[in-house]
Amino acid sequence: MNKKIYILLLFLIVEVANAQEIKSYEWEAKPNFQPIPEKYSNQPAVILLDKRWIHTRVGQYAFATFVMNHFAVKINKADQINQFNKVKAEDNGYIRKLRDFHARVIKPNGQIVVLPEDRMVEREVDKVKSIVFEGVEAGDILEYYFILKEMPTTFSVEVYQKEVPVLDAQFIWTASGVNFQIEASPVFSQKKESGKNYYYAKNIAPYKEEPNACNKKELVKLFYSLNSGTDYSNWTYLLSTQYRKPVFNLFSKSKARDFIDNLKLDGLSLDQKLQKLDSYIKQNFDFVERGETAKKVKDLNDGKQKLQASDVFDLYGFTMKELDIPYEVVVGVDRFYGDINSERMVYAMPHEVMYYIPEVKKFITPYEKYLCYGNPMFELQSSKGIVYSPQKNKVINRDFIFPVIDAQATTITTLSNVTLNEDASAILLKKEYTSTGYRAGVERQQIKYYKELKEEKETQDFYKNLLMESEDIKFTNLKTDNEGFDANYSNTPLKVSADIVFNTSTIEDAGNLLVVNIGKVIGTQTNLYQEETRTKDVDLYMTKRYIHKIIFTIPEGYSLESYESLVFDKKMQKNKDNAYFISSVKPQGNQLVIDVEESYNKIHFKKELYQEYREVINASADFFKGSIVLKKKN
Amino acid sequence: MKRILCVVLIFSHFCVKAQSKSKILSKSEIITIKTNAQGLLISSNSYEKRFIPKAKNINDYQFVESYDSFSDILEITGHTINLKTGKKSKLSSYNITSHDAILEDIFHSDLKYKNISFGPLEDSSTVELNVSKRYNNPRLLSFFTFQENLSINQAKFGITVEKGIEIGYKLFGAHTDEIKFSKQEGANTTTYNWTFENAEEFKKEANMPSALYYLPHLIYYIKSYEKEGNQQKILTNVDDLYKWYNELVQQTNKKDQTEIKKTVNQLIARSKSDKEKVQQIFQWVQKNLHYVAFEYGMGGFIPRDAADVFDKKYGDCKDMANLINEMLKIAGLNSSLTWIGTREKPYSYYDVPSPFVDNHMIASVLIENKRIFLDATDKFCPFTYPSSMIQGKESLVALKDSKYQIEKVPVIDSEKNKKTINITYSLSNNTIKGLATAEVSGFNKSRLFNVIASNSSEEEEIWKSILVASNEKINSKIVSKLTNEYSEEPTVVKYEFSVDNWLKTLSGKIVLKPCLIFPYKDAAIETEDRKYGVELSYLENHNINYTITIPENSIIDYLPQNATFENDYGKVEINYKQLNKQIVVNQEVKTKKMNFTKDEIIKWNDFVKNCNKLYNQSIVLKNE
Repeated sequence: MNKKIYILLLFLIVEVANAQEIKSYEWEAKPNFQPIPEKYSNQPAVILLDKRWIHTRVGQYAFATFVMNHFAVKINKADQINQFNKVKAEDNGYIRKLRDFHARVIKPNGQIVVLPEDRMVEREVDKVKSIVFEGVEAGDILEYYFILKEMPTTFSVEVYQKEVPVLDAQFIWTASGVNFQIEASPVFSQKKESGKNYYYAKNIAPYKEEPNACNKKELVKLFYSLNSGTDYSNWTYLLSTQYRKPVFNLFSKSKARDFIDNLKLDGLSLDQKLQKLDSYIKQNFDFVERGETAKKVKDLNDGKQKLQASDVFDLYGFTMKELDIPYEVVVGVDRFYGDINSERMVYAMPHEVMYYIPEVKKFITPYEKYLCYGNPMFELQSSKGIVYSPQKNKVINRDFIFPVIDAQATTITTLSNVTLNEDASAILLKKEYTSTGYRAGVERQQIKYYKELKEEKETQDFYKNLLMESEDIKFTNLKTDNEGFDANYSNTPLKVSADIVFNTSTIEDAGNLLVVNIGKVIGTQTNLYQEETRTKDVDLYMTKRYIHKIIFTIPEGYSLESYESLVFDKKMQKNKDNAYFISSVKPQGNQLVIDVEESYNKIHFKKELYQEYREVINASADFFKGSIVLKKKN
Repeated sequence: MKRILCVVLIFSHFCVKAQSKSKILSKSEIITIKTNAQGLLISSNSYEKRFIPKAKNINDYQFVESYDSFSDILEITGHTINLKTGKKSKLSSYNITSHDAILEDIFHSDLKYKNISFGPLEDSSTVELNVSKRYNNPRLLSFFTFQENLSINQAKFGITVEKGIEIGYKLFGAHTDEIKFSKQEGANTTTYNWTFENAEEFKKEANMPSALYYLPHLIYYIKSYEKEGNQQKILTNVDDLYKWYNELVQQTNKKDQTEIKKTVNQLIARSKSDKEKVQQIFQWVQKNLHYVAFEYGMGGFIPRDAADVFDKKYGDCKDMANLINEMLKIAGLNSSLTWIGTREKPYSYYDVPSPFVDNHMIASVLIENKRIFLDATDKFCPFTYPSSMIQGKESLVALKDSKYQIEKVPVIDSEKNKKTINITYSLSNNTIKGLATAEVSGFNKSRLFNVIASNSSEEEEIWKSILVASNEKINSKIVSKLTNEYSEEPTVVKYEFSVDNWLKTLSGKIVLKPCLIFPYKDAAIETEDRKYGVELSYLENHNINYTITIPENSIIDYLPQNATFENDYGKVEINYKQLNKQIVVNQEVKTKKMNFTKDEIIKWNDFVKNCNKLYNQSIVLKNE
């Protein structure tokens, strides 16, 4: 018994001590930062210390957070001074009091110049105080710390990685009456000392964004959230309170039952039932948007209506429950932002919730208007998910893997009939574009959006981009087929065709030779010519395949001289099918038939394979620049 | 300086795109100017009525009203009406919140705003808003726009003044001839009214000049008023404006300048000419001072004391201008504080002698009867150049004995903003390999260093971009660089490079496109639906020389003819020459006009089209 009292007393002493300690935090009179490693010696600036301490007190008479930010940066190049010489003592926007704010400049000779407090300025409304470092020159260290008392926030993200290296990153939390839950990037280590919880990382490399990479996921950061004893973010609690029983706000269950009756699902197979349900909901119910007032729904079958997002979600669940269709609720995280935590929801991370039908291994995504019953969102492919069974009222799988959809499903084809104009000075193009899978789903939704928007220029730009990416063109005779949502279920290709004239030059002169830049007809291709080095793995949104056929009619009076710059056979070395760009050219009478197949059959490549991936991407860009050479007949 | 902040706030609201069209049914503002014991009482009552077809267009029923230490918001009232039910809902005080304006380039200011958020609304509603304001400084009034991001059925602006108060006004922007004006004389007042009907929504366009060139708007100002039978001048002409500016700047520089003098003497100790002295001082400020702007009360107009700025090593445009001016005066040079409106502002001091004309301050110095404009806010602005944002603009130059003059800032000739690239390369299989030396000068050089300073993690890519920006296929490696940031010499970068798959090989022939760099190749501007003109940052000249080694056993089968295209907007010239076993190609491309109207875009596009036509010429080599 005495021991218990002792432990409790010790606990209280530690908490009170932490509260006092953060309020009286001070920097060292003579700072001692770790030396800058040789690899960072040429950096324009180096962050020597980025220390953040959050102490939150929540109780009967306490509801406050104290925040301490202590930061030091060495300026190596004068042009970086403006990036670091201004400090605003603000954190979450709910400041109650600035308790302390100090700033100093440490000169290369060790001289320390402390900024007088009277240099501080304060904004009139939100009372944020700020200061500018004075007399700063290249070689100086700028150091500051401030302590704020503010209203606690329940969750936040602390980003540590910057465009310059960070040598010493620290996050400390202490609390009374609440508990912190932390999700930190893998570079952080953890320890507990004197009642303080430390997360720390050394030598964080400068941030650099790379194409086709999980840039946001790999950004060095730390999520935290608070709970007051009970962890309401754990999946079992969260999913059971939210998804155990469908609940409606804008209509009654009897209306929902009428809705199901009117769908006339009897006698249909499971797939047919879910398709019919999904098709009706996706095409007739829009979400109540910000600014709009949700209204009670009298008849769910009465054409197009606005429902709250949660009502739409639960209408699927209710229907499946009424029809005795076993279903599960699955939660995932956009893999470009992070991985799902298997125990609980990490607030501020973008979670996606949907249904999974185990019998057919298919998904229903109520919140995604573009996506039909079948596949999960493309951002989730290959990532982990949490599966909750409403019937069993428990989390049944914490290691669910969202499937990767085959490249065959998302195929883009183009058929280009190419001729030259009368004086052989420009390409004339008749192009037919088709898409399936994820691409078609997104593009159908976009077509619907632009039709409703009724803005001619934006609509024209959309179709230009669809047909030719960013190429500068004019088009006429635009035709679209299979643009209705239901075509997604059978993966019927969306078809768009037009007659196209290039605004940019497509023909080059070389004496009696004519160089026709026919590669352009497939539309602008992204390239990685300049991105020689790579620090992150390659991640693609989806597997996909492009099939292009170009039929070029050789104009009268010309003969074919060369087409070699259009022939490519670029494949990844070990697993040749993972990504490739292959093109072939066949002269047939007065025509030239060019076939291109480009395929990306994986959504993830290790960075060691980057150069092989880059070569495939660059082959498509090279093809785009490729030409045929014609010769004037004598 | 200060006035531009209001414009920024208004335009941030313009950028919001409506999903389906709301419209302004009526918009009006009445300015009333009276005299009282203290001087002038200036009040504004504005009213706006909008039709909101869709409640989801929440940005269309949120309003922003700015104020600062020169103006107060006295009252805000408003209501919404649901047109289907007729239900009227009053604007609650809970829907009005106050905020400090946080602006990107201003560290600390007194500009604040009220966010007025109507709602919740039903589809097909109207919102009506009344705002009363008071202006506390007769020289710092506002302006009225007759066009906004939503279409306007009717916009009305009126000014009512007591007899004896004289006002000035001028309309700017497009459609000014469609704005109806009337003037009514009453017993004790005169009322001026302007009305514009059926203004379509204003949409920004890429590469357009500041919207102030196109938005129909009225600048108004008080010229004078009578007090006890005497005329009190406020802004009757530029003399009054300068007099006020001069009074303001007399209030600064009261502190000891011993340390400044020491530095000036050190800086100019070895200077052989006045021009060299100016260069030393100007570049010292460029290197050592960092831009931090305070716009608080009269601090938006009065430079901080030069001794403080010297000590703290930061300041805004007027602080830097004032320090340069003081340092130059210490050096015995004929220097002046100089007010100027950047290219954002379409106004002339002669048209509108009001602080609204300018938004910037620099220093200028007279050397051998030629004025050099010194703007240290551009950290890398070449000495003797004005910064690119003030080219061609009127400046108000303070002279001795309370005199001033208005002088135009020159537009820097393309020859002085040059990129010269000398390239030698040879052919090997399907690849070309070679060396390139790029020399970058003028505004091209200053832009390069400014871009590097704000994108430090991309420095290597930025250096390479000099060579590869218009041809990403060039695989380059930097061999050496001579930055010459503050020297009159150009920045020099040497590269090794290769380009794969650049040649086309036929039976016994090689087709080679000799040009590797293509300035303006993608600079054509879409003319369809274009409403506004185009502004370039500065004029520039690209001079690219290629020396190509002809492979062994090959001879020239076809060499393109020398060609030139020139119009009022640009010039492109490519010349080809054979010198023994080498082909020398000179490619010169330059721009000739910084601003052109919507109708002139066709001619600009013609220049771009001809650039591409000339770039797309190939040399044919054949076996010997």
